[in-house]
Order: sequence, then C-alpha cells, then structure tokens
Amino acid sequence: MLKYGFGGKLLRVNLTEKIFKIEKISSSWIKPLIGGRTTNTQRLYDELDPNCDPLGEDNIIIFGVGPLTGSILPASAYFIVTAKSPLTGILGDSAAGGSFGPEMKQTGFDQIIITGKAKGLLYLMITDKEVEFIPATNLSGKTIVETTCYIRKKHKDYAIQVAAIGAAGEHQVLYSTIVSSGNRVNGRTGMGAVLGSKNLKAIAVRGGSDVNIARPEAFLQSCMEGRRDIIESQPHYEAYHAYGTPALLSSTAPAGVIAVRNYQRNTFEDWEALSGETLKREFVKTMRGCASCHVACGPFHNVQAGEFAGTFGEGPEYASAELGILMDCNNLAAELKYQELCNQLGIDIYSAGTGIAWAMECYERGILTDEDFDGRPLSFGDYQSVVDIVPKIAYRQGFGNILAEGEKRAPKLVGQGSEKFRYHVKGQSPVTEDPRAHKGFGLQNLTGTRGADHLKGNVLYMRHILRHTQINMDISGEGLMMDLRCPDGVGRAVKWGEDMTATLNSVGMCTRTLGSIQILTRLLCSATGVDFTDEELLVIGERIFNVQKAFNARQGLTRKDDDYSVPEKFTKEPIKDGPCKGMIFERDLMLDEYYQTREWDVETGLQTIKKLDKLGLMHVAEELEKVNAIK
Amino acid sequence: MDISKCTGCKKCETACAFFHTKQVSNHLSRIKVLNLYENGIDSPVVCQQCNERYCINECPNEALSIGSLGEILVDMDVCSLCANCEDACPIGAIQLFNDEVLVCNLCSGDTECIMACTEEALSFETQEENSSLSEYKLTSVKLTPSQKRFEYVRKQGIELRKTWRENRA
Repeated sequence: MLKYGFGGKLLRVNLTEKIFKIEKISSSWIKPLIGGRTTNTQRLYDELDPNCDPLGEDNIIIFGVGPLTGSILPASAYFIVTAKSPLTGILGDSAAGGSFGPEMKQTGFDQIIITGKAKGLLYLMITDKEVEFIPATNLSGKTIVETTCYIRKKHKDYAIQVAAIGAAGEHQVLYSTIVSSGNRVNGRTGMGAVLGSKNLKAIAVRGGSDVNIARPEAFLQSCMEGRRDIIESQPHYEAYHAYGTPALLSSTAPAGVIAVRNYQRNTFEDWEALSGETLKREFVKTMRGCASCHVACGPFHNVQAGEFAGTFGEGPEYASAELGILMDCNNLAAELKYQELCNQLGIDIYSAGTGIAWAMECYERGILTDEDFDGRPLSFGDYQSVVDIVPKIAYRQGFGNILAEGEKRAPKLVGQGSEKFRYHVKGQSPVTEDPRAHKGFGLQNLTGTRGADHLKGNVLYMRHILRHTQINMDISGEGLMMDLRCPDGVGRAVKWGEDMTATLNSVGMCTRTLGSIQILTRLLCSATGVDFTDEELLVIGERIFNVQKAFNARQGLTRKDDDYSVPEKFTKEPIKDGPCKGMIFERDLMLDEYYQTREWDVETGLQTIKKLDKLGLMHVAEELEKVNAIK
Repeated sequence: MDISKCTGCKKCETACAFFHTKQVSNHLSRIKVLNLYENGIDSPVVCQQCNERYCINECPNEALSIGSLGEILVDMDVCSLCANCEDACPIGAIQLFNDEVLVCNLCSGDTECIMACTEEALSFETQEENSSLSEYKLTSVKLTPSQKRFEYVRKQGIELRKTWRENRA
C-alpha cells in the first residue's frame, strides 16, 4: 500500500454492468514506474487486447495522476488519459492541466480505469466515499461549460471538477477531446471519441480525503527551490506570464519556421496580428493558471466588439496561433472564436485545423469544388468559412462529416490525389512548425509514440532541464544552446527529451516549466519517502517510452511508420521562401542517430532484446518475440 | 481581495491547508477558490471579518470570539458542532469538516495565503471600519456553504465584467 504522495487506490468501473471495484495499488509499482503516464501505459499494455476496436466495448480508458499532482508545488496539476486511439489505431495518450487532476487526486484514486459501454448517456460522480452512475440523456449536445455548471448545480457543490466531452465526442468524431476546467483539453488522439463510444458524457470528481507528504519540511523547501528555479531559469517565464505561449510567435514567425498555406510557403507578413502582444492588448482580461501554478500561461480573453463579440475563454496556445497562419487567416478574433467552438464542442483544434487547411488547398487546386461544400467553401484566408465548419464537424453534417473522419480516412473519401496534401505521421497531424526548418520538431513528430507530436519530445525545454548534467554536455558540447536547424545531435536531443518528458508526465508535472532534474528528484523523494536518484528518474522515463514503443511494435509498426504520410514533401522539396529558404528535412540522418542513441535496431526501427533486458522489461521483450517485433 | 488579478490557481488554498495541517487537501483549507467557467471569473472566498459577525451571534455555546486582529477564534472545547455558524455566514466562509470548524484565523498576521499569491490578488489591510455582508445575507438562506460562495463570487464577477466593458468604451 502506498502511504505518501499517493491516494493508494485504483478504481475500476464497468459501464456495461454499472459496477465498480476498488483495488489497492501495490507499492511495487512505484520504483520502476512512479505513476501518471507510466502506470497508465503499463496497465494498458498489460490489460488491453491489442486487436480490439478502439470504439468498441473492449477498449480501456484510464485516467491517472502522479505523486506530485495537486501538491503545493507549482506546475503540478497534470493528469493523463490513456486508451487505444480511434484516430491512429495505436497508443493514445494525452495530458491536461487545470484543476481536474488535483481534485481527482483527493478522491484517493490514483487511477480510474473505465471499460464497457453504458446503455444510455450517463456521467460518473466520483468522490472519496462513493461512485454514482447518473443518467445524462438531458446533457446530450451540451457544451463543456454547460455540462460542468449543470453537474455542480445538481450536486450543490461548486468545487466539483468535471472532465466532459462535447457534441463531437458523442458523435465520435475521431479526434474529439476531453475538456476539463472549462478550457483544459486532453486534445490529441481522440480520447473524447472513446468516452463517446462508451456513452460516458462526463466524469465528475470531488475529493474529501487528504494526501500525506512523507517529509513536509523538506518537501516545502524543495517546492520553494522549484518555484525560484522556474522564475529564474525558465527561458520564457516572463513572456509566458505576460502573454501566454503565443509569445513564442514573435521569434518563430519572422524566422520563417512556421508553415503558411498548408506548407506551401514559409513567410507570413501579418503575423503581428496574431501575436501574443496583440492578444494581450485587444482581448486579454487576466491570466489563468492551472492549480498551484504561478506561471499562469493561459490568457483569459473576452471579445467585446465586432462580428465575434461575446467570445470568451482561455488561450490560445502558441500552436493554435500557428493554425491561423497555416490557413492564411490574420483575424485574431476569428481564431479565438474557432478555438472557443472547438473547445466547447470537444474537437482537437490541431487535427481539425490542419484538416481545414488541407481542404483549402484541395479547393484551391480544384480537387474540391463549390458543390462539395453545403455552404461556404473552405478557402485560404476566409476565416468565416473556418468558423462555420466547426459545428458541422462536431455534428457530422455535410463536408464536416468527411473532415470528422480524421487524417487517414478523410483524404481517402475525397480521393483524386488529395492524399498528397494531407501531412501526418501514423494518422495524426503535427503542429505546423515546418520540419524542414525546425529539425527538432520534425524528428519528434516521426518518433512520437502517439503519432506526430510536439509535446512528448519537448526538445526546446530538454536542455534546460538537463543543464547541470553530463547528458547536456554530451549533446550540446559546452552546455551551449544547440541550433535546432542543424541535424547533428537532434537524434540524441529528441531521445533525452522524450525520456525526460515521460518522467515529468509520470510525476504529474507540466513539461515546460521546471528547470532542473535535481530539484525534481528531491521533490519526489520528500513527497513519497522513497529514495530516487537523478539517473533512476531518467531511466524511468526511458523505460516507459520503451513500453509505449512496444505497444505500437506489437501492432506491427516499424521504421517505415516513423515517417510523414508524404515524405517527399519534406525530404525532397526545399522551403521556397523566407530565412529558411532551401532547407530540407534530413530524415534518414537524424532517424539513424536517434535509433542508435536508443540502442534499437537501425534498419527496422525495432527494439532490441538487449536494450529491453537492460531496462528490466524482459516480460515485454518476450511478448514482442511472439509476434516477431523485436531484434 | 482584488479578483481582477486572481488567476484561479488555488495556491492560497493549498498553502492554507498545507501550513495548517501538513497535508494536501482543499477541504482542510480556510480559504476556498472558485472557478466560474460560465463567466470566466475566478476568486477566493475567505472570512471578511464582517461588521455583522453573523457566526458569533448564532453560536449557542459562545465558542466563537474575536481576536486581536479582528479574526474569528474557535474554542473547540465548548463547540458542540451544531453548524449554526456555517448556516449563518452569508458567504460560506466558515465551515465544519471532520469535526472541526474551519475559518480564517489570519495566521496571527503572518498570512500564508497572501505570501503564496504571486499575483498580489490578496492583501491584508487594517481598516477603520469592517465591511458589511448584509447585502448577501437575505439571499443566502438555506444554501450550502459552497452555494453561498458561488453566489458571492458570481455577484462580484458581474461587477468585474462591468469594468471590462467600461475600460473597453
């Protein structure tokens, strides 16, 4: 039984039978796995039938928190949702901050494991004392905020936190999301569709138990260190605190790193209309933070005049600002409206946005015509058409029904060579930083275990976290900032970035704030009372990344899947304009280096028995041997 | 309290519980943060040391008294856990949990919540006259503490949103 830092229990819910079971979590899990993403992954790997239908009854969806989630430590509000993804057909997992994780932690359940399928729409009310299955047919079609308010009012408790799906999840749009705390999104890999397929509208949590800290004094001291470290050494702290992540646009847009018009160009003159500064000046009322975090990088905005008056919410993130550029739209209010609709209807803005940009290019090239759209056609620069299509995606109407099928299927439905303009990896579209210009982003898109991914490689922050370690020296010489436009060293950087991110996801922390692994180790030791070393923490990250890789290898993925859907676009066609003109994506060079650093087989991209043995994963290796997916 | 600065991060809430009990639990906190996603207002609710002192008036056992800083002091030896104070408070700032009466004691002037807040949304000032909560009293009858806090924040939020519109104009 886990005593400190954990609730120590897990909850199994079977929706078909409407029953639940509470189990104790064995303390043997903590040393090799910690919690959060790692325990979720291991459990899914152990318990899921790899051939199951992601939208069927057999799929398992797991909510998990880590030992530091919800503590007084800043940036420790994360919870992770893991299931087999309906979008990609492989491992799906997605993290979110806000206040849901901390509240879930106080219910005493470190994991909530949901299986089966309810007969009618319902929601779960989970407290430390009971689990209720409450009919929710009246909540059908309701937005996230409406659902949250309804549940709070019904139970007469406004501290209840709700993670819900919107109309998109109910209609099983393949990239639908789970949204909690109003605007905090488990965005990628279609976790909302999995909940929708189970007829589960929402999970409401309200904790009443308390979480004990093993050594409170030491923990407090480490928290103070962590807080100071974020303020003093996080390179973007000031900018995030003032503008949120869109602040990054002012460095990347002029550098020609961002893709314009669905990767046709790389210069966008009017980027200032979408920048963090403009956002702050025009619309932001205050900043919003996740539980316990002083970075407060969520700009709360309210549009008060013009055609999109009344729009409000948190955000946008940097990556959603990029989407405006991808669609060649420079109207910030429209972008905020687009985001509000996506969040409240429960759609992943990246998969939807890149899909819209793809349709725009198809329209420009005459593959799609006016008749294909029942209404305003999607064309570059037409922001109104973007805002109009979002509800159609959520409710699967007209052309929205095609876009709702996701990255792999939608181009097949359109045909006529449209596949050539839909760029994704393993069925998930990347955030639109051009891989040819930003090699680090490019490579982590290929190697991400949940498809193209900018959050699980995190190369931008990795050096910062490892700055006092030998690893940083090994990657970037004298601990200098590595130039991510040069392919050398990117493979190594991505490997360490992925491992470190996995560790942070496991303890329940935000991946882009804390700046030192030494502090993290001290925090974890004082909170749980278990002794860890810095090296052990990194190995935990590496171990779980290997389990995630094995999850996908078990389903037959190899090196050829670690590639863009249209590789020649990036490896052969150089960037046409801007400061990065002429650059291409040196895929093979970086992938080779990456596999070598991981000690995997370079030729096939598969793991090796030797490496898995070293990580204490022989049980995984044995299973992979059965399906011939290991070298 | 300046709710226009509040980010809703709940640092004050976790800090309060942690310093009083060394545990992580928002139930044990004496300051409670509400996130109103429907109108985008976040705000902490805590004892205002109000003019009326509804809680003291309703206590049948004289377990509550006023301390040197104006804070409410609880004498658990004579408290009968009747929850009259909880019912009386118009803003839900005093509450029973696990056989204990939780109300802000101003940490003897060294307030942990204010130190935890990085946004300067909380401050501690001695005023000539205590504020009045009578405008919240009538509408708070028969509500749970959580509902009372919600109504309190909602009303303040309406005022805050007015200033957004004025600033815009």
